[in-house]
Amino acid sequence: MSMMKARSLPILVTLLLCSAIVSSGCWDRREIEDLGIAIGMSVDQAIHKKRTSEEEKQIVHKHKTIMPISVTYQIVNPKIIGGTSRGNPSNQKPYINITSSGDTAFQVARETATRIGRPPFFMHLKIIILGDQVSRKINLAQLLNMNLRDTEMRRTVHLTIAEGNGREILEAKTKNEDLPSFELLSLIDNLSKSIHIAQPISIGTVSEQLSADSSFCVPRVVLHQKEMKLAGAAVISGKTGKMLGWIGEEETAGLNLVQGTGKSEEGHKGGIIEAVIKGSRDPFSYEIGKIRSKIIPIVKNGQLSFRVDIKVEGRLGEDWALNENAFEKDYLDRVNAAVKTRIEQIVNNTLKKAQKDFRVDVAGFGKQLHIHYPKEWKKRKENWDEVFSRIPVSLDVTVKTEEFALKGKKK
Amino acid sequence: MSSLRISPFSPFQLTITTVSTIIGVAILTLPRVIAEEVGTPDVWIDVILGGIITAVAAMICLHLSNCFPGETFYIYNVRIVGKVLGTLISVLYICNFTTFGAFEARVQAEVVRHFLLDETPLEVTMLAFILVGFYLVSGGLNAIIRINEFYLPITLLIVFTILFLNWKNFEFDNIRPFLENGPSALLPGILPTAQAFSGFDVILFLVAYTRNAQKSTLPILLGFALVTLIYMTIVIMVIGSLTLNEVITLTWPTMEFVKQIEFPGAFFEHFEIFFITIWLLNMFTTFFINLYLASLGIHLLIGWNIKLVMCLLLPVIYGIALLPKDLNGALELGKSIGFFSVLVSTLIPLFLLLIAIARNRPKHDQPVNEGSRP
Repeated sequence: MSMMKARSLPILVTLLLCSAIVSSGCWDRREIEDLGIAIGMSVDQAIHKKRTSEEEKQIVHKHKTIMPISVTYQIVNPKIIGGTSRGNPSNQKPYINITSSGDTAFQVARETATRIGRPPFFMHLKIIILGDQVSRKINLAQLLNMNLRDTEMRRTVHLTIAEGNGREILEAKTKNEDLPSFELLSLIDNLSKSIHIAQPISIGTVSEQLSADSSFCVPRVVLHQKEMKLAGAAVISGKTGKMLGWIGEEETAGLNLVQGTGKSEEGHKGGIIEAVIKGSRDPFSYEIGKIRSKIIPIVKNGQLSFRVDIKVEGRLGEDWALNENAFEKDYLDRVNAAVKTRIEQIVNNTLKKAQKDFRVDVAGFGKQLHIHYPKEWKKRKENWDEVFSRIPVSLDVTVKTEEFALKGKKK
Repeated sequence: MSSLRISPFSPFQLTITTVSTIIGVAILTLPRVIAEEVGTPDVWIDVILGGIITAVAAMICLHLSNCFPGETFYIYNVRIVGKVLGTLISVLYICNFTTFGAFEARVQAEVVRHFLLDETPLEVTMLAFILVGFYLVSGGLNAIIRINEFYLPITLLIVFTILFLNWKNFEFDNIRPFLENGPSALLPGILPTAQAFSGFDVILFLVAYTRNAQKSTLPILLGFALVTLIYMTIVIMVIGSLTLNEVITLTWPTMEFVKQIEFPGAFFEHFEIFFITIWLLNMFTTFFINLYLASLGIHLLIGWNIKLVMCLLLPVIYGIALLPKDLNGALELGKSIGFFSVLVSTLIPLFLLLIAIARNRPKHDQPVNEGSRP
């Protein structure tokens, strides 16, 4: 036994020495205090500035067919946010916004290293805001390429498009949260409260849509008196990857109704539909509990059409028609009919906008055709958006009022 | 042989070792590789077909080995096809194991570079991997089997946890339509999936040390069912959550799939670290078994001390692992090794079995007594 020990001792010592060499030179050591953790970023069109010299213009920007971009990173300021006292004596902001511009996103990100001691670290990036100017001119697959490629990035980062400059959103006043990025994220979570908020989309999903050439919508964020508002959506063409235009709040509601509630909690949709019973002047609020929608492709004699089945369940949340009695089944039937008419209006309006104005399929009609009639899809998939704009779509809306909360009548 | 000091193990342990050898780097790229070949979302059927085909090949290996109880493939192939051809086959297998081990080491380093240690040179991670492998393998076959027994349950736990946590990203619509281009469109996907099952030929070498080897059929088949289940659910889930068109564009689709799991604000916000860790262990198991079998072959062929052989093999493996110039080179190497491995491990045992039957060998050595031995 002692022989064994005597023999293995030199080996042990050698191993320990080796481990000392290996463990001291860790290539990838990063101290958390030295990281500038980026939470949000925005991409805008760079304001055209004169190139410094004629020579640079020719050498560096010969390849350029698109304009340069300006990227803002929102970096957490750990001094303020991580401090024990919530009071803010130095009046510093809890975040640092740094903007830089260049031709490609990666270059811009590294360019910041010349100006800030802790350049952005993207592992915890949560949200990207694109300015509408840049989204109209550059393919999103190009704009987000670095975010989808770099291993520090994640596909789950949320995407929104700002009316105006994305950078201003990152400077907006906050209410609940310390950082504008977090404020926007919590707005996105409010999908179950308002039907006017578009379905959240991650950059991974954006990439999936673009690789399938299918069009989609991205939630819109607007700045109003230095405060942000999340409503409406930007329409992105799947073919070009560029933004085509906006759909408003009500059209977004229509889109939400067509798409229905997703399986995940994130996709849970709710909100209010205001309607008036025919012949009455007093409105009521119908609170949506559940939307179940189905897009059904129909092929008859070679003619293609779609039917959208929308089943809505909810409650009568508010009623200004004081002389009505919700304890009577007859009244709830009239409520259902009024909500049904209203939903049909909203959805038809959205479909009209998509088919006539933008001429794109943003609700996934093509996907359902592909699933149910692969052969028909193959014939039409090349210019599906164009084909879709001429296909008739019918609606089948069923509304169920499950309850009317705590008060059913005036007296 | 006595110098190896291997104590016999059970059919269950044989199965675990086989499963550990099969599960390696393939799963990280499998969804993309089959999706590229087939182009429709029903590629999971290919995984089942690949599993069945390789299970049949594994049964051939098992049956062949059972014809020569107590002898490993390196020894008995000489008795079937003679000294020259037998040695040639052994050398072929040794080359296969060596390059396969090198490939595992290389891809392991690529994965580590992408997802864990960005700045650490490939050479360093590979060296550490190979040296640790050597340390384990020098402990002998029983140490290897013990480690496999230890890893496999953890692997299963992590894999199924990940599949479960990703459920909310899964969309059934993404794996439809079913068979849109007809069943014949699935054919090109069978070879790449069969490659993902390569490594089952360890059976040829390990049956010799298995107690009651005749009773291994059922455990081995169950092992194949388990691997097929893991592969199939991963392929279905990856395509169902990332869509087919997207999977084709991703370098490591399975890793992207795992990276989708997030618990904002929780202690572990990201979950991929568990998956990377467990998958490094799986590449490690594949690596050291290959290293061991290659050394065993050389040891039995020329009679050098097995530890010396292992030491000599390390630089060879390291050199082969360094050969590919870039990531594409490494993936390309994987493809050709996989193809070679599938070819070797299905065709050679089949031929040998046919020859052995033709010579009526099994009649003489029919191991009736073996089975009744306690």
